[in-house]
This record gives sequence, C-alpha cells and structure tokens, in this order.
Amino acid sequence: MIRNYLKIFVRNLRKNPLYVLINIIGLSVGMGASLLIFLFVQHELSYDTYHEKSERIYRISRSFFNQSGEVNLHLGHLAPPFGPLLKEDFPQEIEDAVRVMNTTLVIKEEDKIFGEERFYFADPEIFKVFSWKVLDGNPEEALTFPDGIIISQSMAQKYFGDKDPMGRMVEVKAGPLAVMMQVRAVMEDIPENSHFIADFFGSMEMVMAYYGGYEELMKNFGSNNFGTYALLREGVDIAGLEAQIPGFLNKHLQVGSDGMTPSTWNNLHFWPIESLHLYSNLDSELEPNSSIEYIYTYSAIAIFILLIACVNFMNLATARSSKRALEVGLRKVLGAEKQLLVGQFMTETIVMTLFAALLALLMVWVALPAFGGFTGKNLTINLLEQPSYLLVFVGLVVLVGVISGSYPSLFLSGFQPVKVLKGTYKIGSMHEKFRSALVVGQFTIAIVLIVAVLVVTNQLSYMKNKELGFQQEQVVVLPAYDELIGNYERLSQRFLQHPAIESMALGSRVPSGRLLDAMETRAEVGGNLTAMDIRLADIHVSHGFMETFGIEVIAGRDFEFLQSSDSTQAFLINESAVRAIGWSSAEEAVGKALHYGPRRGYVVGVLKDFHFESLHQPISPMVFMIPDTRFHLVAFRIKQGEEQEALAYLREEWTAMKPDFPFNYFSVEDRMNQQYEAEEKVGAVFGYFAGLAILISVLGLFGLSAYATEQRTKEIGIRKVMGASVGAIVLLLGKDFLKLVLLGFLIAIPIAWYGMNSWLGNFAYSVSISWGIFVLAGMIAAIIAALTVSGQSMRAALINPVDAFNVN
Amino acid sequence: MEHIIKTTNLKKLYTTEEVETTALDDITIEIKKGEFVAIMGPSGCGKSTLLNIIGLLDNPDAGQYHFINQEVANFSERQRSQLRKGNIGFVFQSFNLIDELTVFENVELPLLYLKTPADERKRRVEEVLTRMNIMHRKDHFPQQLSGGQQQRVAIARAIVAKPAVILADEPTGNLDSANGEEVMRLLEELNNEGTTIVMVTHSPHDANYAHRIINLFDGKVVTENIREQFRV
Repeated sequence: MIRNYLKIFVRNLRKNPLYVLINIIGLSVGMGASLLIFLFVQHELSYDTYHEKSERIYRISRSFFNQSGEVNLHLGHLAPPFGPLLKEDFPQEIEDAVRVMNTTLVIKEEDKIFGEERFYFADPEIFKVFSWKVLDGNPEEALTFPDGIIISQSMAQKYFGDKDPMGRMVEVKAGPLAVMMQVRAVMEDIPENSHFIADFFGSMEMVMAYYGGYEELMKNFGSNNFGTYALLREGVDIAGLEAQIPGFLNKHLQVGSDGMTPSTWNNLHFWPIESLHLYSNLDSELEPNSSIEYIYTYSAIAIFILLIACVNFMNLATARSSKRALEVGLRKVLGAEKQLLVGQFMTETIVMTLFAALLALLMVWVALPAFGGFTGKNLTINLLEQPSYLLVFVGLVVLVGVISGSYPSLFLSGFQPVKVLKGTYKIGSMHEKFRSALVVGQFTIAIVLIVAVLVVTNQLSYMKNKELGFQQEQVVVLPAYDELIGNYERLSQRFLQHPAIESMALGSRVPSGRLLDAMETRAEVGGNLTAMDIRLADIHVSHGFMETFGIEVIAGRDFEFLQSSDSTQAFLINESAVRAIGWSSAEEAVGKALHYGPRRGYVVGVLKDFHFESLHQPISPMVFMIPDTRFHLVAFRIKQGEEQEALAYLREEWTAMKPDFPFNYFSVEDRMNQQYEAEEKVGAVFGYFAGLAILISVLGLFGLSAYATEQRTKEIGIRKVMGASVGAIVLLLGKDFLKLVLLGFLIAIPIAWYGMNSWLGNFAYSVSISWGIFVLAGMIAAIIAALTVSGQSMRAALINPVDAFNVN
Repeated sequence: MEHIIKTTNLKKLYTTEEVETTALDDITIEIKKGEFVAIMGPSGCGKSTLLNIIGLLDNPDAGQYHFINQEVANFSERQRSQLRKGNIGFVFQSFNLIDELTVFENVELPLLYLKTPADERKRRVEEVLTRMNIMHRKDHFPQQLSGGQQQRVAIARAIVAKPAVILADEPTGNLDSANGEEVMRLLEELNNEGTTIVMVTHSPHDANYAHRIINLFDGKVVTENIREQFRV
C-alpha cells in the first residue's frame, strides 16, 4: 500500500514540480533556520554543565544595600577573605572554596612577548572543584608552588611551539612586579561553553605579595576582585546556607563608624554555576554573560518560522485539494476507509518533510561556519557523533510532518465521494476561512518580525548617535604606567607639544567604562553636614580631564593648576549628584561642604550630566577629584585627520617607556559602541530570520495565488470579454490577499508593540515606538505580498480570453 | 429467488437554506440475486441518488434498506465502507480512473484495500485485463487510452474483486455506439455468469439489455416493466 502512495506522490511531483518545490523549499528553509537556532540555544544551555560536579558548584556574589535596604551594587566578585572563611565556618556545607583573580599582564618567553587578558591567579584546589582536562603534570600540586602556572594547550603551542612545555620558565609582569614562573601542568583549552575561560592559572603567591602578604590579604574586605566558587556537599540546602550568611558577615566584618551592622549593608548569594551564563548579569562578572531572554526570543523565532513553513504546507495542500478530490472519492468508493486515506496523505507529507529535512541539513551544514562566526560560537552538527541531535532531527521531521500533514489529511480524507464524483463538490467556507486565517497568521508573524528589526535598528542608531554630553570622538586611551604617573607633569608637557595631540589627562576610569567605585558621602544640606543615603560614584582624575573629554562645567569652575588646595579639597559633581544630594540648583551646590570617604572638602563646580556609562544605565550621581594613586588610564584627545601620526608617536613613546609591554590602546567611541554588540547581534538575527520568515511566507503566497488564479481563469476570461482592463483584473485578484495582509497587520500591531516595548525596557534611554514604524512594516509586507500576487494575476489577466475558456 | 437488494419507503431530502427538495420519495424496490435491472427516468428524477444509496455511498433519510439480508440504512461511513469492499463494483459514466496510476495499478486498487496478497493480486488483475482485452495496455496511464479502453479498464476494476453487485451509472454515456455496444455486451456476459447488475441509463437501447426497467419520476417509482422474455 505504501508503495502505491509513494507512486502517486512521485507522479504528482512530476506533474506539479512547482508545487512540490515550493513546499520542499519552504519547509527546508524553515527547518534549516530552526535547526540553526536549536544548535545555538543548545550551546547556550550547555554552559558549565560539563564539570563532573557542576550541580554542586556555586559562584558567590556580593550585594550592597543603601539605607532603605535596596540593592545599589551587586558584584560577581568577592573580597579575598570570603572564600577561605566560608570554607572554615561551614565545613558541613562547603567541601571546598576556591578563588580566581583575573588580571591583564604580560608574559615573556625568550623573544616572545604577549599581553594576556585571560590570566587567572587561582587557589591550588581549583582543579578539585572544576573538571577541566589536564594533559600533563599534577594540577592539584601545580599551584601549591609559589612560581607554579598551569597553561592551556594552545598557549603552550603559542609560547613553546612543539617543545615540551613542562618545567619551562616564563617571565610574568604585572605593573611593577615581574617574576619568573614555571609551567607545572598543561590543560586542554577550556571549553567555549564556560562562563569564563582561562588560558593560564597562576599561583596566588604573587597576589599575596601584591596585597602585602597573607595576613593583609585576609583582612581586606574591600577589594572585590576575586571570583569565588564553593563546592557544596551533597544535599546541602542552599536557602539554609544563605540564611546563615548575615551572621557570618556580622562575625567577620566590623561595625562601621555609623554603627551599622555589616549584614544591614551587604550580603552574599550563591548562584549555581550552570545558571550563570544565562541568568547572571551583575555589575561585575568575570566575562560578560548572555541572557535567558535572548534564548526565549530566539526559540520563539525558531518556532514561528517553523510554524510559517508548516502553514504554507497546509495552505498549499488544501488549496490544490480539488486536484486530489476525485482520487479521494474513488478510493473511498473502492473501499478505502478514512484512516487509510489519512495514512496516505500523512505518508506523502512525511516523505516530503524528510526530503526537506535533508535539504535543511545541507543548508545548516553550509551556513554553520558563517552563523557560528556571527554568533561567536563554535557550533557543530554531526548526527552520527551526537545521537541526541539525531533524535532531535528525527523528532523535527515527525513534528513538522504531523503538523503540516494533519489538517490537509483530515480535510482531504473528509471528502464525500458522492459529491466529488457528481462534481458538486465545493470547498466549505469553514475551510476557506481556516486557510485565510493561516495566511493572516503568517503575515502577523512576518510583520511582528519586521517591526522588531526596525525598532532594534532605530534603537541602535539612537544609541550610536545620541548626544552623550561629552565628546567621545577622537579620544584614545592607554594604560598609565608608574613611569608616566610619577613624572606626569614633565611628560605631559612633552606629549602636548606634539601637533596631533590636543589635550591629555589621567583617570581612574574613563567614559565608556563602568562606575563601580563609591564611598560614604556627607554633604552640607540646610547648614548641617548630613550623611547621604546615596551612591555617589567616584572618578579620580588629573587636570585636563574635562577638557580632554569635552565635559561642560555649568556652574563654578573646573579644577585649576594654580589652586593647590584643589588636589586635597576640591570636588566636581554632576547634575545628578546635585539632585541626589538635594541641592536646589547647580549654583547652590557650588561652595557647599562635601565629605567623601576620607576626604573633606567642598564643591568647586558642577558638570552638565553626561553619559559616562552606556545607555543601558541611567546617569549616576558622580564625583570627581584629584589626585590619587588610583590612576590606571591616560586619555589623549587627538586632532582630526592626524590619528595615524598621533598613534605612531604614542606607540614610539610607550615602547620606549615599557619595552617589554605590548602597545594596547582603545578608542572611547569604539568601546562605547562595543557595549551595544549584543543588541547589534540581536538586530542582525532578527533581520536574517525576519527575512527568512518573509521568504517562506512569500513562497506560500505565491503558491496560493497561483491556485486561486488558476481557479478563476474562466471568470477572468468572462470579465475580459465584458471589457475589464488588465489593471482591474490584477486588482480583483490581488485585493483578497491584501485584505489578509491588512488583517495580519492589525493583529501584529499590539503584539509587536508589547514585545518591543519590553525589549526597550532594557535601556535607560530608548527611542519611542512611533506609528511610522508600524506603517513602514505594514507597507513592506503589503508591497511584498502585492508583488508576489500581482505576477500571477498579471499573467492570468494577459491571457487571451478564448484560452481561458478552453482551460475549463 | 432471494433478493439481494430490498428498499422499503426510502426517502432522501436535499435541503439548502431556502428550499427542501425531495430526491427520493417512498421508494420500495426489490432486486433479486442475478437480476439485471435498469433504472430510467428524466434528469433530476433521483436515479443517481438511488444508485448512490444502493451502492452504500450515501445514507437515506428515512426508510429501510436491506443489502444481502442486513439492514444497512443507518450504517456508519466506516461500516458501509467495510460492506462495500468486495461486494459492490462501480462503473461510472466518466470512467473515474486515477490519472496518476497505470491501468494495472488502477485495477489493482480494490484488491489492495481488501489486503489481497501480492501474487494473487497480480494473477487476478492480469486475468481480468486479459478478459477485458486490455492486457497489452497495462502499463499505460488512463489518459493514453481511448474512451472505450478506459471504460473497459473501469469495468475490469469493478469486477476484479468478484463483487456480488455491479452498479453502473450511465456506463455508455461518454462512448460512441460501437464502444458502447461492447461495454453493454460485457455487462450482459457478467450478468450471465451470475453477477447482479443495476444500471442507471438514459438510453432505451441499453435498457433493453436489462431484465427489468424501473422508471422514476420526481423521486417516485412510476412503473416497473419486466421485459417479456423474463416474466415468470
């Protein structure tokens, strides 16, 4: 019997290749796109699951509260004593606790010098907690040596080539420190699906030296720079453990001068590491994470595209049902029961789906490298090596086959032989309506996606072009070495003499970075010095900072060289700080007393609010002061058109100052824009998949209109004889479809509006969704639909009326 | 002789939104095993409706229908389908062959639904094709055949499962007289071998092959003529 079905299928294919092609291409594009998304989502969900004990590993974070108990800072890093103290205090719950500290440093091996960003100092037990594969050496012992490092396979290749890396020495330089370290173990490269990737693990000894020894390190509760992980014992109740944390904090941290107990202003939290990649987006992370929202969005897109493709199939199959009606009627007369016919049509659908799936696999295989590069993931598909994927693939074929085939099968097998054979058979209006509803659904999805693309594009261009309140262009930033900071006045005179350099300044942070430093604030309000329950973020700067970044002083004055007290007492604050403190105006703020951390001084000037951080963040209250030893960066404003000369000059100077250090700089504008990379990717993904969704919808519409036109050939002939113009006929045939697009448009508006508004909620500053966007999206859909349909109707309209009669 | 088809007060209504049409009105007929019956009447008199009900393609709205000694008037589509298989063969005016299947495959179809083993299917299909003198075209598609040839294929299909009854709806309507004649002779031959035949026709000439003619008018049986030589 199946052979009989297949025969009919193959012969139908030969007779109606266009129909079969449209169906198979539509399905395969849909399946291909969703397979790609599946691979991506699968990869995202696999983060950190490969560790043997991954279900027991927790990352600990630290939150800080203001006086109203709201979290105003939440860090993914802890101060160094927490790890060891937790392990000591909770032996029943915590089997092991390890810390990692990331730093950018320089590694030198003979003539090879590289800046390394993925160097992590780590506690020796790290390999007891995490299960990265070790190729050589004993990882549990390696970091107990003060000079021990573990390096990854590719780093071994990079520094030592084919030589055996074990036991070899490299010079490690961090700031003023330089030590020789010995390779004690080699590990496989850390898998890409890890929330952080280390190329090197180094012994904590160097960190201890930097902090002034073990004692000092264990007293420092302020330096939140250590990623801290706990391996819990089996069956530990996390809520129970977290409930003990306030007591733990009160035991180890000191009560502040204001009498506040530690647990009232900070807390620790345990995060399962498997959840970090998609759920943890704190103010500091070892590496930026993704978000579960994107997983939902991508999955929704995959499902939508698949649905559109299935809908196409249903529509085309039912639209051309008249061609199969006779066959159905006859088979029934000859004894076929309904379920046999359902079986026949399901078989046909599944066969077609299988073809489409194989084609989809080919598409995925071709597109995967590009898609992987674009998403920054190394995605692979190999059905034979990944049996779970094979299962997914088979599942997809069955699912798509059943969804696409179910309605047409029931519809076709429901024909009544008497009517079919008599020729009085007509498609019921219910079915016509259902088919129209499917087309409306397709266009709803397509229009929602178009709106999404437009809104994301708008928001991106808004963010890139928004007036940030300072001049981000033409500023390059370099690391400030001690040699420069120590001799800044003399050296800056020299740099500024270069014609390409307009101004320069030092800073603890520069715009485009995050604002993570803050201290206690007291301000003069109503004549009294009052403790402020606000988070005032600080930046330590040198003279010339406002000039270099083009930040406007709207009241009072900038820091001045000649005012020597500026370096001990003066503060500049921004407008947000004025409001947060409660001063009525910028003018009122000038001259007011301000105590910030240990410094006692007064406000000398107020800065116009500007976007120090990306537009994801609202403008924070900020305070600027000079000087401090915490300068990390030096910024140069460069004359337009002389970037090459300036960079060449700076490279020369930097190399002379630090011959062993690579010359690494960044442009503020670039770094600002990099913060929108995630959104750019989302925008592009929306763009590509919206394109695919439209392509599939167009294919379906093309097929549908072809059949609709074919069925009305006689009517067209008669109308032409009666004097209808080609235009009138095209309009006649097209308007039915345009009505469906219009309906889809109306349904799409609220969905798109709601979805995109919640996306825009991720930004402190965003565009508003204008009607223009909806109109544009609707027009794009309508024009595409009109072009698709009009080709068909035009052909029908141009037919010689006599030929039209002959067809029937 | 025992009857194979017996209807009592059969009624069939067609309703649209505004009009109710009585297609069959109190039809009571009996057809005996081995009979050859022609149903005649003007267009719209209910001939085809009656044939569809007799052929278990449709249910009556009222009345009884005994088919091979079973009351089937209220059978479900599934039960009717079960009963149809192997018991009733159909021949249509417009042949109704499946264009995508070859001659052989078209004729094979009823046997497939009866789950006849493949070797027996082959034997029986070839047997009827030879008998219908169309064996040499067995691998052709319907559209490659003449009308007469197509109808011979349709008859082959109707008889391949050796049904007790053949229902023919204007079997010669689309054929020229020579081909029509041949089809009628084939039906007569089958009848002589014992197959009951019920035929709807407009043609008095074709009706002459039948033992008995039932005349319908406006959904009612108006006359039943038993042709002279078949009178008991």
